Amino acid sequence: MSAVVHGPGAPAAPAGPDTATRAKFLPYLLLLPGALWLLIFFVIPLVQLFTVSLQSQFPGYPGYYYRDVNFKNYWAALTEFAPHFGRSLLFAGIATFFAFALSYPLAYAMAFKAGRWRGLMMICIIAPFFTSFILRTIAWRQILADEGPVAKVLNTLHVLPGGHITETWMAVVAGLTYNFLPFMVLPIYASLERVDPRVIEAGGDLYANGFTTFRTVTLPMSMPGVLAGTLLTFIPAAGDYVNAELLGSDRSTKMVGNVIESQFFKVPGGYPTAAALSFTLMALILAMVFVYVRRFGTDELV
Amino acid sequence: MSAVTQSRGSAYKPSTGKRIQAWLADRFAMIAAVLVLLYLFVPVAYTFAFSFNNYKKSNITWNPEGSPTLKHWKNPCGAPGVCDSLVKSLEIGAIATLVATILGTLVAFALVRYKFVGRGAGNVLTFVPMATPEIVMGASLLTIFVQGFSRVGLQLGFWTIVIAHIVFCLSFVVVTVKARVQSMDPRLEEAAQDLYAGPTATFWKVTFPLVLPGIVGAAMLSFSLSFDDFIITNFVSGSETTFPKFVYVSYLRGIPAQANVVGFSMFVIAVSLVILAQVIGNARKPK
Amino acid sequence: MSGFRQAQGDLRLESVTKAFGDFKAVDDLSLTVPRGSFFALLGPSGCGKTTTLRMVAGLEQPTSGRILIGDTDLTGSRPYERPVNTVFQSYALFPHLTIRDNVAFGPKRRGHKDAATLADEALVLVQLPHLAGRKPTQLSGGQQQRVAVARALVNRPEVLLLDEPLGALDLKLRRQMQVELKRIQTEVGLTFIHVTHDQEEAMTMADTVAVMNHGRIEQMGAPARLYDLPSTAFVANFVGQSNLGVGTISGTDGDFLVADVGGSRVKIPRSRSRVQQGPVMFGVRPEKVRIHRDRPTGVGSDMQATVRDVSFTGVATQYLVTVASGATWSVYEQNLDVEPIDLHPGDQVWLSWDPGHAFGVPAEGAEVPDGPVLADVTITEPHVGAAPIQDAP
Repeated sequence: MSAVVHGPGAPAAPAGPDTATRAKFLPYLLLLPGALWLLIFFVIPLVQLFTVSLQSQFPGYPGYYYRDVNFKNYWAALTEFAPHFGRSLLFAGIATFFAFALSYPLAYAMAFKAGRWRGLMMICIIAPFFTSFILRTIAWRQILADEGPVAKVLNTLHVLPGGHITETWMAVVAGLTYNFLPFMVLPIYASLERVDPRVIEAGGDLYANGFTTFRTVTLPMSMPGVLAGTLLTFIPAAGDYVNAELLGSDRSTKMVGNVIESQFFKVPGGYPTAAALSFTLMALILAMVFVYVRRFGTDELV
Repeated sequence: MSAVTQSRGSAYKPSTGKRIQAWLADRFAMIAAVLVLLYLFVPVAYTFAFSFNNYKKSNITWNPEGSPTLKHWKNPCGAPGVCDSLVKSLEIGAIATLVATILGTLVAFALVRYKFVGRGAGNVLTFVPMATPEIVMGASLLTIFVQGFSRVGLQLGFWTIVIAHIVFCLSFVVVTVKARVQSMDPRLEEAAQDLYAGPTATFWKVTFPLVLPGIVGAAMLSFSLSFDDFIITNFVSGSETTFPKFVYVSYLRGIPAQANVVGFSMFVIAVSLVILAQVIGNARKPK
Repeated sequence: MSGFRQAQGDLRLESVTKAFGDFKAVDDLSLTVPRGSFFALLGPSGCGKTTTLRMVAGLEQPTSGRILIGDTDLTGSRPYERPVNTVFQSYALFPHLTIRDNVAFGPKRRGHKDAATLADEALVLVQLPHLAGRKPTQLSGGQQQRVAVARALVNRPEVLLLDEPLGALDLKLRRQMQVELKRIQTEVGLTFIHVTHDQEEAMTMADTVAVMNHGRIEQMGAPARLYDLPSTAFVANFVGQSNLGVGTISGTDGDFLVADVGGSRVKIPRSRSRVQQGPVMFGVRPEKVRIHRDRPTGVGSDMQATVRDVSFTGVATQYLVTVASGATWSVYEQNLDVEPIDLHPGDQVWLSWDPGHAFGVPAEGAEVPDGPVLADVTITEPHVGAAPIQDAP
């Protein structure tokens, strides 16, 4: 009998000369199916997408392209669609900030104040997922519409610039904030839950001021969760096109996602441009993630 | 503690304003939390309300002369495509969840329990899909399906959706199960070995039952992600229609109220299942 | 519980070494634990006692050396192949199983048909049969501890290992469980090996105590013997407290050695000193020392001192005094007198003791752990000993 379950006290050390060989192959055996799946259906497609992003069009034959190493697609992607990139990052950034502002009190209350209501609150956060994300986004469109209650109230008070919410960036940001909120709440909650409430009491005892305690004790202790939450919100928000499509206007609120989608499905021969846009977006996001993780560093993510 | 409060109370009486302020400060987090939860439910409530709309042309505005109707609830499959797409979504979700949960659990055990060459690469490989925007994953899969796999007979449709969903579910399963395995007390397995359980018995009698809640949680997460996915599905689905895609496509023509019925019912079913599971869990604990 | 098998032989460790990289957690350790005895491994954290225990359990394999029970060599065998069971620190009860299933776990793995009956019998032994249906989280710390004992005992092991089993309990419960464990051990007659850093616990429960430090056994013996005649400075201070002073043996006086410690002449019985010439560390237990206002007559050894602190503890009074060498000594006086001697910090006093109680241990490389009461560390004057060495603690 070799070690199927390694003695957890010494996961690294070989269990003994007789079992060492089997133990050496076992992790690879466990890893193999999942890793193969990701290799074939994640890594190879990305490589393929990259080669597509370097292809050139046959002149005069829209929709036909040949293998090439053509970086012009990237240049076009960056110049022609720069405003879309800007909007994607900006909208996602604002939405991430609002999601954080809404999530923190909720996560905090769940971790420290909710008591036996904690489980119910958790269900309330996850449950809306099951009413389709598209259905809920469309619901927001109707709620925020010009004849809907929100726009009417704001217009009566004359505080709404332009008089509309839908078809503006505000609706898009609101939609992004709403849709990715749970991705912010759950990691923050997970990290706050691990904080011993007595530590916070000790903070209150030593500083005797709620805000100072929060700033110097609670917030730093929840940073890993905040970090994970902002990434889990920002990344999908920056790549989203459904909110811009359903809540925004045809021109002034389109994000990179919308361009990629239409280049793929609506523009003949748009594949190389769409691929270049995809790679640029991914590179931008990975670079930001890298800088962000370096800056607020944690190794809990991986 | 109470003595201190009392003596202070007799020496110093705060004004009513101060007291309201203190009361609010104490409950600020809870009040804010309840408001945010209500906010999360606004579109759900809207969806629910408009499932009763007795509309004529499109279910966008409330029909002015029509009183609420139950007809969409009585016949949820009445509108073409609603139930077909729902069944497809449930099937895809079930298959993707099953495969992703099994593969992901194996990977999680390998990554937590063993140190081996390539462990770091394995960690990165399972993490990067989560950091990849859905649209990029969808675009790359579409490219490979169209330019590569169609030559071996894999056409866009049901199975390409399943394959794509497994990819992103897998990452979430790995992360969830990994956390659970990591948080397990290593002494429990040592105790099992000490009590004459060989490696196989230790795994099935101790390790697996203790990791199971994490696996179940990962499976539920997988299913909800798969069931609700639109962006990747839209890229790789060809002419196949899932429930979110059905709603999105019919948006321009007007979404039938039956979609609201289905959407809200899924919400109710999910909540009931979770609550039921908790009640059963509580009931099984003897007092 | 007459069904428990008697231990089949002594547990023997032969030159066992366990190295983690360059660090030797256990260093060439040899020891024999007689069958049926209650044996304690005592030492500070990191001294190698838990590693030793884990090697006996099979949870670690020794780098070199052998572990045997009777004539059976256990080295290299897996934990589930050994007739040895462990009561884990913080118990490690399976949270997903009921108490009965926890206890029945071992018998079931070994294919016992009546595992549940055995479990119930074991629960009776630890006086918890009424909790068999509960889950571990519903039990108090003390109850969990008993379940852990039952879960290990039900297997009728040759050797039962207890890894700091009482560490998580409060003081009162700990006392209670000490008595309880001793009762169970007497009842079942198995070999118990108890690992602890609490010298009082070890002395109360064990027949034999081995004091470990830096992966080696400093001294092994019956508790009273260890206390009465420690063989190293480490033991002198880890097992109870000692007043220690480094000195040089200057001559003999009948059956006594005469040593010069910090300017005072003290006597050590020849038979109670580990060194017969040169540098020596002299020691005497605090309760063996008497305290007087005036120099007493007709006693064996005496020394002048200054009172630094007086604490009244009810049955006794503890004095901290500074002796001529500058070291701090501790003196326990039983409160026997109707009118106890009234002393205050700063008072000049005389200390006296029966020289027959003094002991001598090697001064070189002497390592003195922190005593529980005496916090001050003083360096003896260079002229006294061969080298400046830490004095009484």
